Amino acid sequence: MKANEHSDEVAISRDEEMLVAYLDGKLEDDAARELAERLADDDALRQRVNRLAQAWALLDELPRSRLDESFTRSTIEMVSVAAEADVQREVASRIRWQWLAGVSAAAALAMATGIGFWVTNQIVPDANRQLVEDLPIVEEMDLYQQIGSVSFLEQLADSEVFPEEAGNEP
Amino acid sequence: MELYRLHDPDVQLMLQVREDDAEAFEELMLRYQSRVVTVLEHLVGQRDQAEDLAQDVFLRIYRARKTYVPGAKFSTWLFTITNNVASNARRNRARRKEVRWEGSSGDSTALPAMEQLAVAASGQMPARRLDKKEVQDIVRAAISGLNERQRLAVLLSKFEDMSYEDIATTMELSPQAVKSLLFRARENLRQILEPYLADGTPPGDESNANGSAASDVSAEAE
Repeated sequence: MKANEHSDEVAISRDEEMLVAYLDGKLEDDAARELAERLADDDALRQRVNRLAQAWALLDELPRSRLDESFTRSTIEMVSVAAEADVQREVASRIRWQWLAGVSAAAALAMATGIGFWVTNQIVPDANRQLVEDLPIVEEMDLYQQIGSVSFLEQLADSEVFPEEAGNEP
Repeated sequence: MELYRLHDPDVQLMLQVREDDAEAFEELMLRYQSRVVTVLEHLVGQRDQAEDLAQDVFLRIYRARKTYVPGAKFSTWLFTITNNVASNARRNRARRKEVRWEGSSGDSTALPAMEQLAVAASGQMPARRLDKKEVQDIVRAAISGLNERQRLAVLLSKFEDMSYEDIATTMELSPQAVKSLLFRARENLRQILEPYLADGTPPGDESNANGSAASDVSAEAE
């Protein structure tokens, strides 16, 4: 017996299989002849087969359920309500997903813009950057031009005579 | 698959239901509702509950319409769902009963099936020709004396005229297992009904008189 097999599913004997097939009218000709001979000779077997057939036939006495229209109507109403609820749930779920998708797309766009800006800033030279760096010199340009010698100014910066200004020199 | 699509008109109806055809669904209901309730009534033992469960069956069918693929006869698919719904209901009922029993030591209404059989067959009745209602009660009680799987196999075979193969698909068993199950169910029914078949005596009289063939059957059925 297999682990998940119930005791009443365990294979029946060949004789029992033959009886079932006989009772169901599915016994092949040869087997039917063989069983008929046995039934003729064996009162107990004949009695058992008769009883099996009678007990089976008694099931026809059971009434079949009859349902009126109200059952059909109430079931269809119930199904309609449930189907509508399903549709609403589906729509709500779709809206939720659409909203999430929208928010995600906006966040992704903002992040991409930020990264793009940063990368661009790092790679492409900024024309104004040099100007900003040179601003202290530009502001004092008139003074530097009066001195007239760049090499003198460099020597002056290296001599540390004006240490506090030296740090600001270009 | 194509075989069922072409030859089973109910499969064609279900395919229309898949396309949201409400009339097809109503037609399927009209064809099957009584049959489903009949089977469920014998499985769960109560008409009201059987009707509630049948509604659940049709609701499940409607909800499953979009994924429906005709892999078997429609009736086989329908009764597979019916079987699942009945199994869930029995499990829930057993769980509730367990909780109730934990709370109270005795439950006089929860008679075992064979005791119900004896009550239904009424041991006090004299041996006489029984009227139709009494015979129905005896047969109904005899069916409820079978275990659940034997009962379902009998109902599908007798009421739905299903083949071993279709019953096997419905119950997720092999056809050979179904054959065995049905044979044992027939044997159990024969033993339970033997007193009535022999001389019209309700089974309850017999069980009272000689130590009950019924209790033997009950043990065997489990």
